[in-house]
Order: sequence, then C-alpha cells, then structure tokens
Amino acid sequence: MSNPKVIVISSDDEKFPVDPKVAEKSLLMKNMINDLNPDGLQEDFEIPTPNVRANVLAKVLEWCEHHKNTIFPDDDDEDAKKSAPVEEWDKNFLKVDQEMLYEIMLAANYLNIRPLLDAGCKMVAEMIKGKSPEELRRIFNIVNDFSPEEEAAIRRENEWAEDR
Amino acid sequence: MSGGTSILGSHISSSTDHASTSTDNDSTISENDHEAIAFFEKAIEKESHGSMSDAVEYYRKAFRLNDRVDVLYRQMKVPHAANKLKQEGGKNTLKKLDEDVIRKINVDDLLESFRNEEAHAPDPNNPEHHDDLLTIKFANLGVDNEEKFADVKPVSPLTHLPNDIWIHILEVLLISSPESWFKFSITCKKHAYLGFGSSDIWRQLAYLVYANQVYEENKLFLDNMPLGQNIDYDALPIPRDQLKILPQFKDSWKYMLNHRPFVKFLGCYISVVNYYSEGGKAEFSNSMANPVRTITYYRYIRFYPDGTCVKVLSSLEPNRVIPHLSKENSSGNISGAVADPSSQAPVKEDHRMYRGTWTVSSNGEVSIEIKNGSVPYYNFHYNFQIKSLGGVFKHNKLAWSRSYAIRKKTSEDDDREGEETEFSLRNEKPFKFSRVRSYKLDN
Repeated sequence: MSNPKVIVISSDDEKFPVDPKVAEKSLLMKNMINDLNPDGLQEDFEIPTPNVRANVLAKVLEWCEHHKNTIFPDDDDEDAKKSAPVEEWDKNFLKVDQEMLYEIMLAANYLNIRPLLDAGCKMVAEMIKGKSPEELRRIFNIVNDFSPEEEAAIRRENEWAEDR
Repeated sequence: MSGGTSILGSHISSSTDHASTSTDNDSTISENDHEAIAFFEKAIEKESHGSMSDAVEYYRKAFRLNDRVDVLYRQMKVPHAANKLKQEGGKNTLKKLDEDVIRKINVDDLLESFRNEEAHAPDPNNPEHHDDLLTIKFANLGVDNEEKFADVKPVSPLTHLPNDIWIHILEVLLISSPESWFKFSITCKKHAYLGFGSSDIWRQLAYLVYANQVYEENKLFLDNMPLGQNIDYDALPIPRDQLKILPQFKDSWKYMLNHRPFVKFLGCYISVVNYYSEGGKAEFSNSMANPVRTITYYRYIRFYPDGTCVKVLSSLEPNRVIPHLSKENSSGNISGAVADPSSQAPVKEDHRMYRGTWTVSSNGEVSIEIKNGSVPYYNFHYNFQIKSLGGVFKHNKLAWSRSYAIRKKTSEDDDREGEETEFSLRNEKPFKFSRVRSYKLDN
C-alpha cells in the first residue's frame, strides 16, 4: 500500500494530493495533521483551504515541493534574516505579476509558510528599492493624497532618520 | 563605488551632467554661451564645496564669455532641474508653502489620523489627478516604451496586503535601503501611516542604531574589570538591551531616536575648512593691501561599529576621497592612485588616511584617539559634540570641542612623555554627515 497523502483542497474545490512532508512546510497544515492524527497518518487526510484559489495553491505547493528537504534556519537573528538576499530559485519562482505575488503572499501568510512569506516581502522590497516617490506611485498606481503642507511637515519630521 | 553621496552628490551630478541637460532651447544658443554656462556650473559646484577662490575664477571666466550668463543659466537650466525634481517628487514639489501652517501640524496626530486611510488610484475625471496623469504619460514616453498607460486601472493589489506584512517589508527596506523606506512612506497617507506611524519601525531603527554604538561608559567599565573575570553584560552602565533604556524616553522609540545622540555609520562626516591667509607684500610694493589667499581643505571621518575609525585631512574634494575612505584600504592612500602596489614611493601626506579608535558617551560626546598619526611622537585626540543640523537633520553634525595631542615616550629617559599640546580650533568647522550608498557597516 502506498503512503497516505495529504489532500489539500482549494477554495474552488480542486484537490491536490501531496506527501505529508510537502504539506508540512505549512505550519498550519503541519499542526492540523499532528493534532488530528496523533498516531501518525494512517490514511489520506483532507485539508480544505477555503481562501486559496486553485491556481495559487498550485504555485504554493510547487514551492513546498521544491523546498521539502530544505531546512530553514530557525534563527533568532531577525535582522540577519531580513538582510539575507532571496535565494535564486525563489527569486525566479516569484517573478510573477503583482496580482499573483499578492495572492501567494496572502496564502503563505494564511498557511503560515514563513520562508515563502519572507521571500515575497523581499521581492516587494526589491520592487521599491532605488525608486523615486513618483515612480513608486506609478508602480502601485496610487495618487499623492497629501496637501503640500502635510507632505512638508511629515518630510521634515521623518526624513532625517534615513541617515544612520 | 556604485552610489554617490546624498548631499554633495546631488550638486555634483546636476551641474556636471551635460548630456541630459540638452533641451530644445539648446540649439538656439551659441557655442560660446554653452561654454559660459559650463563655467558657471563649475563655479556653482566649487562654491558649494566652499572653494571660494576657485569659484570666483570660474565665475569670472563665465562672465567674460557672456555678461548675462546668470540670466541665461536660470532660463536654460533651472526649469529643467525643477521639472526633474517634480518628476521624482510629485505634485507637491516646489510648491509655495505657508510656513505657519506647517509649523502648526502635529505630525504624530496627523499620522494617526491616516490609520484607516486607503490608497487611491488616479482618477482621470479628477482634474487634480489629471496633472499627475500627464506627468505619468510624459515620463513613460522617455523612460520605458513597454509601459503603456491605461486610462482607468485600480491600485496595485499589493497595496491591500495586511499591515503587518507591509511593516515587515518596510523593516527589510529599513535595513537594506533606508532611503527607500522613506521614499515609499512619503508616497501617500496610507503608506505614511505604515512607515512613520508604527512603533515597530522606530523600534527596529533604534536597535539598528544604538546596538552599534561604542559607549565610553561601557569601555571604562570593561577596562576597569579585574583580569580573568567573566564579563557580566547585564551590569554594563549602558545596557545592550534597548528595552531597558526605553523608559527614559517616554516609552517611545521615536522619541528616543530624536533625543538620544548616536554616531552614524552609513556615510562619512566631512568638515570643509576655508580661511584666508594674508601674505607679505613684495619689496617696494605700493599696494595698500597685503595679498590674500584662501585656503580650503577637508577633514573626513568615517566610523565603524567595531570601535575603529579612519580619518583624512586633505585638499582633495569629497568625490575623490569618499570611494577610498575605508578601513579596508590597506594602502592608507585615499587618492586612488594605488594601481601599482610595487611602487615604493611614499604616500603624499595630503593623500594619507589614518586609523584610530572612537567612543561616544551617552550625552553625545565623541572621542577619537589616533595613535599613529602624522607626527610619530604624538597621540592625537579629537573631541566632538553630536548636534543637529538646522534642528531638522538630527544628530547630523559633529561640533568640535577639543583637539590636542599627548607626547609619547620616544626614548628610555624621555622626560617629555605625557606632555599635552593643545591645538587651536580657530579655523576648524563642524563636520556634517553625508550618506554614502556604497558604505556598509564593515566595508
């Protein structure tokens, strides 16, 4: 008999059978598996993810599959983690449009896949780096809604802090 | 070096960037006028560095070519520069502002009022946004042909990421590109609330800043520890755990950053010294006045969190020194003329970099000691007070408080050892901090 699978079900009812090892990249799924199967998985186990659509779930599980043997350092040094560059494979994996990146990050947040969420945050940070405020407004398609005086006051009180 | 300096760099690039300043108007002016403007710009650059005699020289050349060069310059270059600024900063750039209104704004309250603010997409029906759209279209034409502007499109979905994820993104920026943290946060009300209004951001910044300071009080404490005793870090006069210090600053990280001085590492401190030196008259001269010459030199200091620093005193301008001002520069030569390592020629004094050590006290007094300085039998000491520049640029200035040297022991029976020599601060000017993008904490 083959090993039991975890069957992840998307919001639009598509089923994704994966190895428990893959599903366990998500802390949420890992905890569900362990809590509801204290003696280990005996048979296939279904996990619905009511707010993740199939095309996004497929992407997220592709990431989990690729990283199923990766051991992510659970290190306390948050700063080192934040300043480490994004791994090349993750970078290519996350080269998607803004809509998809947004959905992947939301799913990673919901499913509690910290390393994927971190990589997503760094990708957004990369989009922002080195751009002028006006370029950023264009990238995020937003308007400057400050009055001139508000902008000046906020600038004056905060801009110095970028020098350290 | 990839980046320039933020303060000096902008001056330098705007005045030497000839290629990008060609406008339609350019074709209508003569070669002669071009040259005049070029001299005029060079003069402005020199003036901004404080090299007055050079500046005067270039102004003279410019006016000799065209006695209306100042008017010409304003017509040709200022609208272009203003346009460029506006394209980078947006609609509020270069607007006339009511200083009274600005001063009355309580920024903390203002940011708090943005808590539930959403980001808005440009609306083609709103004439105020229209101005934005035109600039967008205009900017897109030249910059990137792939980007086509669609008339109505919603804000980026990324804008809707939960606030705690955005805070995380901003923290990443704060560590790796602090100016990007600022530029993103100044784009709109919602982003300002995220970037400036949350204490998470200021806490992160406080840890980045204060954990790297080398405190005089702690150094004294550690120096006085009996040998062989284990260091009890909890007993340090200035605790490493910033949380223990927070109550002294109204329990606010932002307040702490505003009021607790710190030394900055991602750039260098520059002091521009200018003074006049009166020479003697030539024999039998009928002149009433003595010849005068202006002297310009620069002092540079760069600090490292490991307690070391490098120092340069040179007539070379910042853009020539900054790329080489590093503890990793083992040649000790900041002119960059180090291509030939086999060269045995000694480094010119004007190009020499010295290494030292530094500490800062909790009230913002910086002490630097240079043991191997320009005079072999001296230990040099420099003392500064950290101050704010114009009240706005916090902790951006080092004001001189003392400069002296202590005589080293030079022979077995040296009775002059320990003698103190005080140096005059008469010509010295305070140091200003300049951010340098290529500088990291340890490179």
